[in-house]
Amino acid sequence: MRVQLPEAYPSGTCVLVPIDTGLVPLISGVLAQMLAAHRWKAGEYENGYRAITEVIAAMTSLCAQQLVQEIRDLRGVMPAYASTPVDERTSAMYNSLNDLNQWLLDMRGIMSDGWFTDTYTTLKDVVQVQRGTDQSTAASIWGVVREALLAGSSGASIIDIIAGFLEEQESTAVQGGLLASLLAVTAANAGIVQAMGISILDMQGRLNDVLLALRGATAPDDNILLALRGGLDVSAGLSIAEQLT
Amino acid sequence: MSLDLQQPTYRITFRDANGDSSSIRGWFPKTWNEATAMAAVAGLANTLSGISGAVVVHYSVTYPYKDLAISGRSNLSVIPVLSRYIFQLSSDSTLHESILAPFDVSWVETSGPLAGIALDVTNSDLLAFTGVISSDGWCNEFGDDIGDVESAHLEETV
Repeated sequence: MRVQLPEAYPSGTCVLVPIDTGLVPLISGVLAQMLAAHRWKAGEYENGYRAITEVIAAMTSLCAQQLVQEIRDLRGVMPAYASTPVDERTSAMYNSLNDLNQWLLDMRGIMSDGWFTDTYTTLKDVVQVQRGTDQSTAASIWGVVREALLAGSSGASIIDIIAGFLEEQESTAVQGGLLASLLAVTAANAGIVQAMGISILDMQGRLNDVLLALRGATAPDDNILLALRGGLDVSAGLSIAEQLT
Repeated sequence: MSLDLQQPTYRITFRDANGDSSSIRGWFPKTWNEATAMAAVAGLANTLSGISGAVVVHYSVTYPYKDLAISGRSNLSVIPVLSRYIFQLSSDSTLHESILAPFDVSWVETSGPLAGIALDVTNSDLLAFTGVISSDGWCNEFGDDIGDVESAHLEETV
């Protein structure tokens, strides 16, 4: 009887048929009979031929084995069996999900040893390390430093403030807090240098005022000693001490 | 291999109003090339259809070659085991064409899950054979150009 493809073809859904490899040549021969034109109704031959050809083409695809190998690759082979040829590996040579879970647990590390239960590191702990402590406290440190800088506090005051914070947060303060402190001290030092510069400029101004008061607007080309001794050369006889003695 | 050209043949198939069909066969000179032979057969088919009123549904020419050194008739039984070679179509590698042809025993896989069933398609001699089919414009029955070989497995004649 001539046949035709069902209306539902192609459905997109496949079945997985376990065919022993020893039957492959025989099954292939049976399917090949459907490649003949006389098996199909008029107008159905080309579609039927192509459909059966695709089934025959899959006879040696070993798709189930590929799926199994994909799963095994996902699990990962145990290091002890890495050199074993893939074809010779058994399921027991691959890691289990329990192994993977335990690795993840071990990767956390213990934050504090307890008598009954240990406290494991969490992502929150990592974030706190990066911030220098918990977010609210870190914000407090930055806020205090900011206020101190804006108020023009001295470098010593800022360092004193930071030291106080570090003492309070010694149980949790780490790199983030230290970085904040370093930046604050650097800013304080910059403020100190700036203040010194201003002071030096002020001192220079005052010295100029003193000189102005002493010599007037025009700097003299003589000096006090010349004014006192005149053009006489320096000698012991001119010494006041000699005169007195 | 030494095959000699035999007398070329033609076949013309007719179908009448009832859907019944018949074919006639004949021969033409060896000296006719393909174009000459096809034109002659087409002309003949057109003339015959005018006489019978039947519709020409198929005609063809064949150039048979034969090894005259091999005497005797072949057995009625076919070769029990051949190989099904699976090729990808050049236009779409997810579609395939297959060819049933002889194989060399040395091409059969000797290890792995398909040992004794599949052929090693990386074998150079196998590739020399399939390469001829993959190149030179060979196509399937529907005109699809045949591409590279993908796999091959033994097939029993059922």
